[in-house]
Amino acid sequence: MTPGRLELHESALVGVQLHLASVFGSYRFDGHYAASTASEYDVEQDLFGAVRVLGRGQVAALVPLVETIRSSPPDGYAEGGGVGDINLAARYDFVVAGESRVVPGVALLAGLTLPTGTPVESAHAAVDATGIGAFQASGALALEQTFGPWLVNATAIVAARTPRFGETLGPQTTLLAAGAYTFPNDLTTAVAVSYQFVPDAADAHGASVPFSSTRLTTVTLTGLYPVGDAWRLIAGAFVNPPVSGLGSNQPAGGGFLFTAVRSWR
Amino acid sequence: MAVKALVGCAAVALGVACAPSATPVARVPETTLVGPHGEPVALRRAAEGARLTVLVFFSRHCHCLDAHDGRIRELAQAYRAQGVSFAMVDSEVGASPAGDEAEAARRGYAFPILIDAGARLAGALGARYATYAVVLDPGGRILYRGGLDTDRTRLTTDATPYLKNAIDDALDGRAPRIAEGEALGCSLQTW
Repeated sequence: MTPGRLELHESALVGVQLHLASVFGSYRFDGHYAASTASEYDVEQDLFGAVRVLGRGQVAALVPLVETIRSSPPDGYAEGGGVGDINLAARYDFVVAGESRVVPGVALLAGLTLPTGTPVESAHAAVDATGIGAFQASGALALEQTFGPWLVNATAIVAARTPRFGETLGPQTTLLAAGAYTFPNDLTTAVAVSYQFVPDAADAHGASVPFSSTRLTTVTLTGLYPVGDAWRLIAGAFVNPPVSGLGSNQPAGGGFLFTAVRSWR
Repeated sequence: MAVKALVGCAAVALGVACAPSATPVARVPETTLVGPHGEPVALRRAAEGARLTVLVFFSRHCHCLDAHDGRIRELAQAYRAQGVSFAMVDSEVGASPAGDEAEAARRGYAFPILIDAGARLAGALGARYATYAVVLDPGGRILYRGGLDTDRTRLTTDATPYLKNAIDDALDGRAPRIAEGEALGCSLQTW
């Protein structure tokens, strides 16, 4: 749930991730994709760290710093941002990928996201929104296996949210499939596809809030290069494909991410 | 430790078998490995014939081992004249003499890859990662166990050469500076 995952033999790490995104359209409620006439740029800088516990367990924290720049013909230029929702996560690997030929790596993950950001409902301007305004508890099951230089991963994440502003957001389900290939020089390239689904929110009386469900598909390509034993650099590109049916009720965009990680054994 | 064992065995509840673990032995067991041509190699007897025997655990698809290959070849070459015998040990499922012979040739090993069927030797020694090495005296006693050095990928000038130091100490009749160093390779696929 955070980019700060410890690798085998690592006991701690810290890192920073720069996330640059541009919104180029949106998916309507019926899933139809429409290009946008306005421009929006989102910048997020995440600070994260992780520490190993219990041999095969690790705990991590991520602090996002969010900045939004938006420009549209009627509203003009606006920018804002601040600290986002801080995430705490834990992971335990019951089986490490590659340990068994038959049984894949099996890990359970748990996370808690704190409403430390500013939700759009209480933000001075929409561009100042940096969080969802609710606690979010998540659990995930991750399976992964190595086949020589190849690694495949399948992860399912479910997140429940506490009530916010008279409604409760629906539980968020994220399905992630990824494949990676490591070259002889240790450069690793990966492609990941995630599909996120949130059913309708519920109002204070438990009734469904119509047309509030969302879906979003994201494709990410990354490259990772270890610079010695202690540092690794990751660069990537991501996109919500501008194709009708791959999302609903969500903006569509794309961008780049850059990550630097310092680890310790 | 009790908590760790409890959590580890929770894998059983998920229908997952626990990897074998054992308290590492102080002397290699009377085990027989399989040589490059399928011939049996009695480990204790083989150790008797050398001043020191170095075993390094092998994994075919481990990039860390790939990065260590040159260091292993150099050590084997440097100490051959002093009666130090090197061998790789393949404890992974699916190991075959023909496959390992081809791997040894491809990697330029001037020493054999011996097959540890059922990972019995790995289990007895507590070897869980590729590049895990042991140094044996002629009686099969383990003088050193663990990694080759402190660098996982590229060898740097400030690395601590655990295995080289252990060989030097043993040849000089001293106790090793470090009896156990961390092995940094991939998980051995033993089940």
